[in-house]
Amino acid sequence: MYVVDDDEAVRRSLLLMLMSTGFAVQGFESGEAFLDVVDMRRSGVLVLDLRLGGLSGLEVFARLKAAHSPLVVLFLSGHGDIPTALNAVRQGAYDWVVKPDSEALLAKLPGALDEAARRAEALVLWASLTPREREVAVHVARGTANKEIAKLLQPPCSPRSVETHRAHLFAKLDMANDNVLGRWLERHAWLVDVPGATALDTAASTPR
Amino acid sequence: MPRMLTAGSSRSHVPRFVLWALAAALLTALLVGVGEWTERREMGLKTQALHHALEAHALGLRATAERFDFLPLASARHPAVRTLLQNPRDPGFTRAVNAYLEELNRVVGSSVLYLLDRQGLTLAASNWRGDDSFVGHNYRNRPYFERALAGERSLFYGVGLTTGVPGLFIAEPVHGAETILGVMVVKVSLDAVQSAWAHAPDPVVLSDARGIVFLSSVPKWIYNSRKPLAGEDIAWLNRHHQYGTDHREYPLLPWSGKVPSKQAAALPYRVRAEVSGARRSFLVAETDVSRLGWTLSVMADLSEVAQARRVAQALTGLAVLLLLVSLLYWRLRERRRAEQRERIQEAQLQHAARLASLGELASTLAHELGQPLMALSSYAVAAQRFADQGIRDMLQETLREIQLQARRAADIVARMRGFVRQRTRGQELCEIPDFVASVLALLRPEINRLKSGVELDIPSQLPPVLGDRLLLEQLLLNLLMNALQAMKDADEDSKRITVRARAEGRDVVVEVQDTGPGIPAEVAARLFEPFFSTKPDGLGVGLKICRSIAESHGGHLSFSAPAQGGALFTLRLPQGPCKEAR
Repeated sequence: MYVVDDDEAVRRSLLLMLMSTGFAVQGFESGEAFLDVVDMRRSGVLVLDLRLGGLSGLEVFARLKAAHSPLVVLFLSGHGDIPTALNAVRQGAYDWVVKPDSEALLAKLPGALDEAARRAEALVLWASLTPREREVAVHVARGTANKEIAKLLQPPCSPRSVETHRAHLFAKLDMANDNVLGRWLERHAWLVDVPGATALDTAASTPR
Repeated sequence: MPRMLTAGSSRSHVPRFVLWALAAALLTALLVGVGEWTERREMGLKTQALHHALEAHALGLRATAERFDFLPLASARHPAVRTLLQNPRDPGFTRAVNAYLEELNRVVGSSVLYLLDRQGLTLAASNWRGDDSFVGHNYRNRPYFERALAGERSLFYGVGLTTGVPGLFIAEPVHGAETILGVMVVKVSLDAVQSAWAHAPDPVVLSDARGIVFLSSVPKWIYNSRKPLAGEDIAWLNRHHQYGTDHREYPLLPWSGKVPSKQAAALPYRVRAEVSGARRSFLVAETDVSRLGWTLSVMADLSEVAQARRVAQALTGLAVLLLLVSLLYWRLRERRRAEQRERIQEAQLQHAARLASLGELASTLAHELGQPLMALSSYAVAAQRFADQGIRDMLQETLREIQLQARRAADIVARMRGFVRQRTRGQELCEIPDFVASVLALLRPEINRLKSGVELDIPSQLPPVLGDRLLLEQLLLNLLMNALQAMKDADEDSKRITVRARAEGRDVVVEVQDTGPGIPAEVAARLFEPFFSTKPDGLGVGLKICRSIAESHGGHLSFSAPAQGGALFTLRLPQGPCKEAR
């Protein structure tokens, strides 16, 4: 679990609270420091302040998304920044807590930790697929027919090999049908490039 | 771009001095008009009074002069008179006529009553007993005798040859059966008239047909002439000794002005003359009296008219002055009230502007206040845990942190409270570095949020300025917030606000410079106008208030565009009174 807040008092108090509650926590005073030190490929919970000197909270979040990081992001926001936080959640952040409600943060942490565990699992499963199988999985999840998929793939291949990839990936992911795969990928959208990702990037780079 | 024009900027273009000149001309015209009107009115009254006086005097004169008109004729009827004229040597008749004349004269009150024979010799007289008895004197040369001998009744005013006393002589021929036997004469004194005139307030003058003044309330004028006399007139006068033997010369009456030479003027006219040592203006009215061609002139002093004119003008001037003074007073009071209203409005506006700038800072301030509260909340949870777990030293440490954060929150609230205060604390000595630091503290979160750099170039040894700290802070806050907003869209690395301060002469100069896009010239020209704003929701009072704050401190706020771009605001404030060197 990580805490990124540029206000020393806030950071220290959060660390103290979380550690005394029994979490293993690491604190960072800026987004840059966090990105430098932490392995984004590992799952975990990140408590991220929206307003940071240097990289803003949204920018850090955008970098994590771009890297398909499994980190579960919980934003800390002031009253004035609630719309920004809400927008971030729409873009895939786990949730947000309005300062100064520490209890709410504590209440949301178990859920976030569960989500982190699920993401870790999902990441393992997703990593077991070949790149081709991941491509096919994305298309299948959208309900695209095999023939279509064969044409969409780069380089194109026969519907038959699509069928083979499909059988393999269902076996690896241990899923019964297209719908289950669809729901699973929807839940773990962070694994794939979402069409809206670029939009979030631009929104994050411009201050509100 | 909301814009409002304030009333008062469109004042009349007529220069002040033209208005003053106009007012002065108006006042002069008014004074002259009032003077004219008063003079005309007073003159009318005066003329009327003068005519009344003239009538009264003429009446008095006529009454005196004509009272004895009948006397010579009536007295000549006495048979003794005729008898005496026929027998001039008869002592009995002489005595009888003398007694008769004396008695008659005493009864009617004339001066002298006397009887002349055809040669002009006085046969009998009412004053036959006295030292200056006329009896035996010959009055052949007297004009009245000559005329009476010719058969006419005659009147003559002159100085008596015997007595040297002037009087009016009325002569009547005494007719016999065929011829004129002699002449009966009565001399009437005009002393009563003259003494009556002496009581008149203004001069009265009686002149004869030649224009010679023979009776006047001003003694100096007697035997002066209204016009230069002809040689023959003088010869006649000398021959007949009309005005005695001493008066050979008849100097001109010392009147300046247009004096009609002989005839009585129909209309009153003005002269200037010296009376009892003072030169005065007079209005003269004249009338002809008696058959002698006398002219009676009554004068009225015009100084009263001039005085009335002056009084009226003075009163008018005073009234105008009073009006002016009350007008001035009223305007002054109005202005003072307006100023007071303005001051109150200004203070309210400043307060509103402070609230507005605080409003703009609101989210930043809320966030700033959120930090210590968040820390407090978290520390509280941690403290709870440590208490539960019995870790005393961590609990104490956490509680200390809680105190620190509580103080931090209180500080933020105090700073905001200080800034929204309606009432200011008034004049105090403000150290420039102090108030710059406190404004920066208030703005720090906003500066951080907008990621602007701040560069300070403020020497610690600056002289303080005397002023209202809250207002000066507001001024600086406005400038800094403007700078921050100007740089909102600028490139992050180039955002920099520079605050410089230095002592310059007797002033302290504070500069705020940003690296924003600058201000276009046409906007810069109207920068300090009220209700001028380039912000879509701007009130347009910020810079206006900044400037009025600077000016109310005896300073000045100006804008300039530095060569390297951005905007530069220069605040110039006079140094406060020097404290002792520290």
